[in-house]
Amino acid sequence: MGKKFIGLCACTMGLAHTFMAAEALEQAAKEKGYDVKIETQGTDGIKNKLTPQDIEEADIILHAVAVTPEGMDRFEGYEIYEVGLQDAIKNSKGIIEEIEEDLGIK
Amino acid sequence: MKTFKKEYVLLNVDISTREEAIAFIATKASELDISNDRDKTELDLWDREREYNTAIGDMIAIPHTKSPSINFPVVLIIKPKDIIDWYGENVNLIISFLSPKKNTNNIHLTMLSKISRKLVNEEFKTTLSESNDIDLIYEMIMGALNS
Repeated sequence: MGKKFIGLCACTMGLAHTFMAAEALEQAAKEKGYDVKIETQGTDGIKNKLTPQDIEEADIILHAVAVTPEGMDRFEGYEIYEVGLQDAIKNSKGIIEEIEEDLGIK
Repeated sequence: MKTFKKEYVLLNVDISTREEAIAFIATKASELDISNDRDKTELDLWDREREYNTAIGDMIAIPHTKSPSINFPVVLIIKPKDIIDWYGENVNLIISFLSPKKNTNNIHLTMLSKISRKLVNEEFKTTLSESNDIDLIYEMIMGALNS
């Protein structure tokens, strides 16, 4: 099975930055060979919701948030990386590479 | 009610500051019956702007709000005549998302989110920034909304 990257994006309005960050992370993670699933908690509700199975299978779990997201209990006991939305939008690839280094993922 | 139409593309607009841009968006939203309260729309756009500068780089700003003054979700595309000083960042393309306050699981909001997603695509941004062709801009935004 390939490596799996999951993310959760949320911001106060949920109109713009949430989705820009989600797209930037999705593209960068795909480019690096991951199976990707990104949940967005935006103004249109929770989309692409991460299941306990997604979380269990994930090699990397990243939250790009400006607010405390809903359903945090799902992630209890797992190692979660957290970044700001601006960082995720501007430097998605760099963030993933840093996490890979931290976790020793090749 | 439509999330986007040609009337929502405003080219060659005579605005030169962020203040004028926000005021212009509120006035246009009112004229186009998107807003039922021009001043409230302006105020709520400013609330967001103060919290977080909406310039996103590449000379693009995305002023947006969820406001009780907005009747239905729309996107406005605004091109100023000259470069705007957007709180220290140069801006020549404004993409403004306006949404009602209460509105979850709405198909139109999901459509708007697709434009946000496109804003990490360099080619999309460059073409949109460089074009002054209303038909091309309209097609690009419609394409993104329906992607």
